This record gives sequence, C-alpha cells and structure tokens, in this order.
Amino acid sequence: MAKAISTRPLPPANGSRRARTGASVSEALDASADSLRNLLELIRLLDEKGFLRLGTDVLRSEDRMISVLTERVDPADVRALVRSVQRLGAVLGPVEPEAARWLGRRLPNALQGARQGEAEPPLAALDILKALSEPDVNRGVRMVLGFLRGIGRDPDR
Amino acid sequence: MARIVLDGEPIEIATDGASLLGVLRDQGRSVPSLCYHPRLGPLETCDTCLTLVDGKLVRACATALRDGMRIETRDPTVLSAREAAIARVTQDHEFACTICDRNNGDCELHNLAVATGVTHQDFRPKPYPIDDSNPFYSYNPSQCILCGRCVEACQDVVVNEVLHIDWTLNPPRVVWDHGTPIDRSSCVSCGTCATICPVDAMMEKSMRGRAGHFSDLAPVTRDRLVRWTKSASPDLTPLWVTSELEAATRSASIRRTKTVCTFCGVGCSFEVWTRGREVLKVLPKPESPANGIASCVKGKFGYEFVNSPNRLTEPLLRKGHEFVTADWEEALDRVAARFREIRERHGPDSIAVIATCTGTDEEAYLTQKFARQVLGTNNVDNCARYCQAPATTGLFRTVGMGADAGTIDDIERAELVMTIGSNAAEAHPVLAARVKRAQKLRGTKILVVDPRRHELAERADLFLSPRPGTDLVLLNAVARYILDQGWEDRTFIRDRTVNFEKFRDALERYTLDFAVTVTGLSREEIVRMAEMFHEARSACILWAMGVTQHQNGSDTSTAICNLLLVTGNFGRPATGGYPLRGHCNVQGVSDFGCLPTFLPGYERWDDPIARQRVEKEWGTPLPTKKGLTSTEIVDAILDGRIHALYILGEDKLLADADEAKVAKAFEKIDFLVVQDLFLTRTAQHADVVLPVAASLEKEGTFVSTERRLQRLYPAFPPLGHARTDGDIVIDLARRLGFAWEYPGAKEVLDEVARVAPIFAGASFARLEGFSSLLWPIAADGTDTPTLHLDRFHFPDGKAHFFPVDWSEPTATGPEFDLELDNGRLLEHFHWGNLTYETGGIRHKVPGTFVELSPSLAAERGVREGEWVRLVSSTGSLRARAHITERVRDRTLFLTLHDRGESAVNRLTSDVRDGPTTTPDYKGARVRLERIEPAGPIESPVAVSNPRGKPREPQRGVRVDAKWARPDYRFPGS
Ligand code: SF4
Ligand code: SF4
Ligand code: SF4
Ligand code: FES
Repeated sequence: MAKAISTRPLPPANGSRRARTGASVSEALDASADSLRNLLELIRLLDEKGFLRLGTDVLRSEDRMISVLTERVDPADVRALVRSVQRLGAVLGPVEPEAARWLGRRLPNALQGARQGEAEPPLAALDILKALSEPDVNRGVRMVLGFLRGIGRDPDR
Repeated sequence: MARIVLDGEPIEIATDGASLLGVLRDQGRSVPSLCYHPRLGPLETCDTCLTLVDGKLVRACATALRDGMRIETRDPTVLSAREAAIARVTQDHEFACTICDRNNGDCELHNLAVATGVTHQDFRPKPYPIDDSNPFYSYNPSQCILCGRCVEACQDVVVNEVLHIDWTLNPPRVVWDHGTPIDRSSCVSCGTCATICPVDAMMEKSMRGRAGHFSDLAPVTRDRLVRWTKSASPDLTPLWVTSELEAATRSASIRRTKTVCTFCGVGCSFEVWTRGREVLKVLPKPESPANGIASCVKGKFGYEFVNSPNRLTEPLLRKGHEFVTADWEEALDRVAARFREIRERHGPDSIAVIATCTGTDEEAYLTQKFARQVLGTNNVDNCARYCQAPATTGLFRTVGMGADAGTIDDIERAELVMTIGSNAAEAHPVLAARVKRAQKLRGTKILVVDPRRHELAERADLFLSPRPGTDLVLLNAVARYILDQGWEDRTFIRDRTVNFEKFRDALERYTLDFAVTVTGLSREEIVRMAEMFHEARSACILWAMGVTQHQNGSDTSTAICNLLLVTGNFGRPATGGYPLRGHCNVQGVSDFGCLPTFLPGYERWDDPIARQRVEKEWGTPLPTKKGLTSTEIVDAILDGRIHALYILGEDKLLADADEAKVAKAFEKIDFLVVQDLFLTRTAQHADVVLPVAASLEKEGTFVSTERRLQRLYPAFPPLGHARTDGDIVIDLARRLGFAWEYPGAKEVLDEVARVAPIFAGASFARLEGFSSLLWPIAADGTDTPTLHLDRFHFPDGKAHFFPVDWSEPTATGPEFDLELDNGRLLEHFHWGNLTYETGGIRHKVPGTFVELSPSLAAERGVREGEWVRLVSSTGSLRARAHITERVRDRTLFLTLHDRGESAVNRLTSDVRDGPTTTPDYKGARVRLERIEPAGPIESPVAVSNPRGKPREPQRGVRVDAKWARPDYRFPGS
C-alpha cells in the first residue's frame, strides 16, 4: 500500500550548499573570536566579487600566462607591462587588505578550531580562506588587479 | 592535381577545386578570416581574406583552387587590402577585451586583431539599443561586425528563418522577423546564432557578466572605464597583453567538458562550460558528429534543473504518511533486505525492474545484469515499450535488425524524405533541421503524413492527413499502386528479398477505392504519394509515436518497411527506415539489454549460444523464464504476480496509459523503489526514493537514434549526496551477495564488448572526446554507419516481405466524438520534470494546452484560453483551449507536458499493440465540455511563444545587398 506523498523533508539547511557552508564556517569562527567574523565578511565579499577566484586562477594558469608573455607578446611590451604592474602593485599596496596579512598570521589556528568542530568534509570556503593566506595567492590577486586597472594604459606615459 | 605558383614558387596541390583559404593555410600562409566558418562555407562579408590571384584581389574563402593559378599572399597590395578590411570591421566593434565575457581565448576577432598586429581602432557605435528581451541570449548591435554568420546559421543550417541583416538600414544591423524584439519574434531560441557568432554581439546570457573576472560591471561603470582607458592612450597593445593574460587566468577556472544532450535521441554533443557547478554555456562544436554547430532550446539552454533546489539530494524512506531522509547505508540496506525477502517468499519473478533511458549504456547494462543475475528475473524493460518497440518489431520482421538503417547524413542525402506520425521539427529539431536544409538548399522532396499541420507539414511538398489509425491502409495502397504501375524495383526484389509473392497477394484488397474510403484521402493524394516514391532515386521514411502508439503500431511499422523494400529503398546509402528515438538514451538502454526478450546487443534471451556467452562471462546461469514488458508489469502487480518494483528514472505513473490504473497498481504493490532526480509523481508512491546524478555529473556513453555511441564526461560531481545510477546498482548487487567489481564505466563497456558481438570493438579509447562509433562495431573498431549494405540481418541475408493487414481499431462509444492526438512541444520534454525547472523555458511555454480547430471551437462556443474538460472512457481532465489551424475538424491535440490536472494519460486507455504491448496512446477518443469561465481569460500561448509567427525565409545573408550599398568599397579598389 503506497499512497502518494507529495512533500519531502527539507534538506538539512535550506538553500544552496554554498550558503550552508558559509553558515557553518561562520558558526565555527564565531566560537573562536568576534573579530574573525568581520574578517570572514570581508573575505566573503572578496569571494563574491570574484577576487579570490581570480587569485587562484592566476596561480593555476601560471604556465599559460608565462607562455602568453613569452610567445605572443613583444618583449618590449613585457618590460613595459612589468613596470606597469610594479607601479600599480605599489599603488595597490596600501589598499590591499591589512586583513590579509593578519589573516596569514592568525587564520591557521582559527581554521583548525573550525575544522575540528565540523562533521562535514573539508569545506570549499575554508579552502579559499586558506588559499588567501598563502602569499602567492595574494600576489596573484594583486597582480591581476594591476593588470585590470592598467587596461590600455601605456606605462611610460 | 593543380599546379600553381604560390608567392613565386611553383607547387603542386592534390585537390583541384579545394577552397583557396584552406589550401593557403595548409601551405603555412596565415590568412585572416572572420565570416568564414567550415560549417557555413563562404559568406564573403568581411573581406579580410583577400589574396591576389592572377593579379586580381579575390576573397580566398570563396575561391576554388584551379590549375595554373598564380597566387600572391605577401604582396603589399594584399597586405594593405586586408588591413583596410580589418580596419573597417573594427569600426563595428569596440575592443574592451579584459571586461568582455567572450575573451576566453576563442574570440575570433580578438585573435585576428592580435595576430595581425592591430594597434588602433576607429570605433563607431551603432545607434541601436541592446536587445535583451529573450531569456536565453541577447544581441548588442554596437558590437556586431555584420559578418552574417548568425543569419546563415538561422536561415540555412537550422532553417528557422528568423534572422537577416537589413542592409538598407544606416548602419545595417541584424533583425528578427521584421525588426521585432527577439522575445516577440518567431525565434525558437535554438541558440545557434549565439554559438556561431565570432564575437560577443550575440551571446548566451548565462555567460554575460559571469565568464570574465570583471565583466559584471554596471554598464555605466564599464563605459566610464573604457573611456578613461582610451583617453589615456589609443594604442591597443597594452590591452592585448592584459586581456590575453586575463583570458589565461579565466581558463584555469572555466572547465570545458564534452557531453551529450540529455533530452531527445538525436544525439547532439556539446562542450559544456562550467565554473564550479555553474553552467556558463553549452557549446555545440563543429566536430559534434550529429549536430555540428546546431542545437535546440532544450539542449542549449535547458540545464537549470541540474542545480535546482527541487532536486533530491538524500535518500528518502517512507515512514507512515511521510518521507524521512536517510543515509545511503540505511536506504540500501532496506532495499536489499526487502528484495531478498520478497524473492524468498514469492520467487525471483515477483520482482521487476524498469531501466532508465536517460542513464548511460553502462548503467543500462548493469541494470539488466542486476535483474538477471542478482534478482534472477528477465522482468526488465524500459520506456521503449511506450514508444518505439512497435517500430523495432516492424524492422526485425523485415530487415532483421530493429534500428535506424543509416545516419542523419543518409537522411539528408535522400531525394525523398517522408515522415509519418512524427513532429520532427519539435521532437527531433536538430535532425529535422537537416531535412529542412536539404529541401531548401538541394531541393529534397518532403512528404508528410500526419493528423496535424506542424512545421514539417507546412513545408512539405505533399501533406496527407489520413483518418487516425488508417496509416496502414495508405501504406499498403501505395505499395499496391506502385506494383500495379510496374514501378517496383524488380532487381532489388529479386536479388535481396524473399516472400515477395505472398506480400503482393496480401495487397489484393488495398485498392485505391478501398483506401479512399478508409483513409478519407482523395485518390489524387494517394497516387501523388506513390508517384513521389517512383520519382525519387532514394527515399527514407522517418516515423515516431504517431505510428507506433496505435493498436496496429507494429503492423503499420512493418508496412512502412514493406513499402521501402518494394521501392528498393533499403540497403543503400540515403535510404531506409528510421524510427526516431525520443530520449537521449532509449536506443542505448535497449541495445544494452534492458528488454525482457533480449540480452545485450539484441541477442535473443532464449538463444543458447548467446546465453552461454553471457553465462560464461558472469559465471552464473541466466533466468529461464520469459520476462514481462513494462505494461504487463502493471497488470502483474494488479493480479498479484509482481510484489516489488525497482524503477530507475522513469515517471511511470505519468508515462503509462491510463493513469488511474497505474496509480492503483502503485498503491497495491508491496515494495516500490524509485531512483530519480526529483520527487516525481512516481517517486511519490515509493517506499524508498534514491537521489541520482544527472548526465552532467557522470561518465559513460549514450547511443543516439543513429546507433551512434558517444561518450559523456562529468562536468562536476553529483549534487548533495546523490549518486549515479550505476553506483547504486553496483552497491545493491554487493549487498545482495554479488562481488561486482567495476572501477569505472570503462570496465563495464569492456565487459559488454565481450558479451555482445555488435559492440565487440567498442571501447572508451575509441570514443575519446568527440569520436563516435555506430554499431555494429567489429572487434577491430570498424563501425557501420549504414546497415544492410551487403546483407540483411537474417540467416539468408535477404530482406523478408512481411504482409500485414488492417482491421478497424476497437471503438469506444459514440459519446466520445473527438479524436485526441497528443505529443511534444519543442520547448519541453515529457512531463516537464526537467524543462519546467528552466526559467526561460517557463517564460516561453508556462504550461500545457489543448489545440482545437477554429471550426470545432465555433461549433462548441469555446474561446481562446478558456478551460475545457475532456472526458474519455477512462478518465477526465481540464485543459486550456488554444484555437489553431494546426489541427483539423474533430481532432484535438493535447501536449504531453503536464504532471497534474492536464496530464494526458488520465484520458488514454490501456488498449495495446498486440506484439509489443505498447499502449494505443494516440487512439484515445474523448468528448469536450466547455467550462464556464469564472474570470478573465487569456491565451495559454504566451506572447513570447514563437508559434504561429511568420518566418522570413531567404538564402544566406544576401551579401550582394551589402556590396550594393553606396558606402561599400572593395578594399584595395
Ligand atoms: S531561431 Fe532564434 S536562436 Fe535560433 S538561430 Fe534563429 S534567431 Fe538564433
Ligand atoms: S551578431 Fe551575427 S552578424 Fe553580428 S557579429 Fe555576431 S554572427 Fe556576425
Ligand atoms: S534535445 Fe535533441 S535536438 Fe535538442 S539539443 Fe538535445 S539532442 Fe539536440
Ligand atoms: S573570410 Fe573571406 S570574406 Fe570573410
């Protein structure tokens, strides 16, 4: 006897997996320290705006970027570009979140705390947080920001 | 062989007549091109490929190589002409590559500009706004380089005939119909124009603002940024560098995965672009064997279901009157325990399995192995029972193999294409596009037999509408008329067939007079049909549910084959019978053995040699009792023979005829397991519901209607805790005591190759990427695009005429005075479990409706949009009325796409085709009752629906009109 049942139990937490992940991380961080929450918000914003993705993409595509630089572009342009990046990087330096450096120092502990409290497998957002704390990713983020700000600019002008 | 002089050097080229553009590139010359695309041919709109031939500038894309040509590619005239052409193209397109969603390494204009060293542009925006009205793609005139590819694709590839470039406008632009906004035009949203556009002018909305890192800027910010950038320097070089690098970084997170469409059986293959779980776009590729650059709205845009919050992500167990979530251990333990219990108590044949036709071949193989080896029953079937089983029977009877005779290429090359009981332009749109193209470009004749005036019927050279259920009489009468005229192919009949005399004698009563009386057609119409077969040197017949879903579905399918045989239209290229498969893998699930009477590879279940082969491989004996078909399984539940049913991915409650009867069976059965993406109407009756992976989440192969095996690769992992059908079946087999070891789908296919001779040479390695193979596949990997070339699949190698006779279908009472036809719309797929999840599709076609003719509407006083009640001998439903000339007189047409109160199988009866037990879905008779409207009424056909809007056919892009413009100057002149 099996009459139709047209409703199903709601998934453990309603909404997308990403939202759930965010919530559980924030819970874990909440338990650690209040200030971490602000940081998390900042990171979430960065993530939402694509900055984090951009950073990791830069790293992952390093080989291809180098080949683009060396094969498709005139060496003179590369020199100009590097100068441009350096300069823009310098400009961006102060803008670059204080938090990221702070994160590099403080986050590993907090993350460990959060991980222990988690029943779920490693979470994507945690991995992103961790990635951001790595200096290379940071550099990648800055570099690409530099490129993008430099659209069409002749650095020698 | 052509002897030419290229840049001063004499050389020899093997292929005289080849395209000069290709030849030059083969010779290592870099020739720019923009409008040219191998799947479109030369359009001649861009002039970037100019080359000096015998002292004259010509477009290389449109020039055929000829012996004796003197060709210059490095001459300053050539370079400056090309430069002028490129400069003119770049007036029409603003370079903002770093913030453009098209900058993914494959923007053809970007690549051309970088390669040819463009450093400046004189951009002139067009004074037209972006057309953003269509839910799936948009058009930005200011970025449009007027190459005309979209027009050529729309006009001559998919032949939807919506687009043209209005060369009389200043500046010209692409227009839909007569300058209608896209969403109000006749555009069917196939997306081919967006696929083929070389730049970002025509683009999928799923890409806009999402592919680039910074492309989601608000338009005002974007414009400011571009202005600011340009004011800093007009030199484009830094832009190229930056954007090349940016493109490189994107490629790290955008994954491109080859897949095969999950909807109909045409077998379109695509590259799907994803970032994480987000589908950025679905891209048909020139190398896609079945579809090339073409797609339909479902395949191109219908993927929102994959991430739908309605998807099942955890197993569910019935507890009293509700479902509770469970983990896999608990759920599978429960299933295994109940199967074991029921088998012990009632025997193995008290359990039945319905395989999924949207799973992979490998999953299908595992499913039938599970039924036969683990459960010990041949009770395994699939949804081919509802559709093409009668067609298969017709083919098996006559040519010995129940599958399409050839490929879509064969169909396209035929001189005559007949469709019968098939609305291919909506149900198999990409295949139908090839037929429309053949007619438009090559004059192929189209003959349509159908109760409904659908698109192919409108385009047909001859359109016949016999009385429903009388197709068999028409086919036999045409065969007889052909014989009477002496038009039969005598050599073919003598050399390649048997049983001809018996067949001829059986046609005795099928005179024209008899056919006229029974079918309601005129003498002239029937004779004309016979003449068309007589006049064509090659003919294909395509058929679908309009033939098979009748009481005489098998016999009518057989009559189709007889007609092809009598006219010699089998066993040669561009001929043959083609039952069009409805689901992405309904062909594969049958080929791989999910049929009660066939083992994998159409080896009969009772053939001792085949059984031995399988038993040896499996190490266990096969069940010895004949299995039940899907429809018989319902009877067997009701009469107490079947106690447990395991349904994979089939919404059987909605799919079977007579919904009330199936519901009763599901209420009676002891144990029902359903695995699906959603909590379907069928799953709602289950004791255990198992969440499964979608096609984008798994690997394996599909077989399309052409018998073409193609691989699909996972684009991302299954959602939540869903698992693939294959995984689940393996896990269950283990729990029931069979130590199945399959590291992946590859090993499953390897096993199939060992047990099924028609797949002997199938392997993942041979199907890598966009490679495909059409079965039978010999051990050395040789495949068989066209069947029966040397011999038919009978021991004597001959085709067998198989006489069939017509009898009046069982009638219902006179109170049911209307014929009810039913079928698909282009935009939706079956009950809409997948397609209603896509917002754009809902916008285009929010729900179902019943079509009635203007005369019937007038007679019954029914107005557009009113609710009507349809009542049959089995049930009743409510649907909204749509008045249209597509249906005639007393025939109604109800779309299939409803899961609730307008679900068509509330009306159909369980009368069946004898040999196959396929229900007579199309034979329903109903009466119509008007429901007094309670409030204002509106048409169920949304204003954005393309139906009924006039097409604007033309050949190609009409470049002559461009050349005739006063402002056109041939570069270099
Ligand atoms: S029908 Fe519409 S989407 Fe398809 S090619 Fe034509 S304009 Fe483009
Ligand atoms: S919209 Fe059409 S004409 Fe314009 S660039 Fe794209 S393909 Fe060419
Ligand atoms: S639904 Fe059919 S025609 Fe449309 S894209 Fe998919 S396979 Fe091709
Ligand atoms: S590629 Fe030859 S004219 Fe465009």
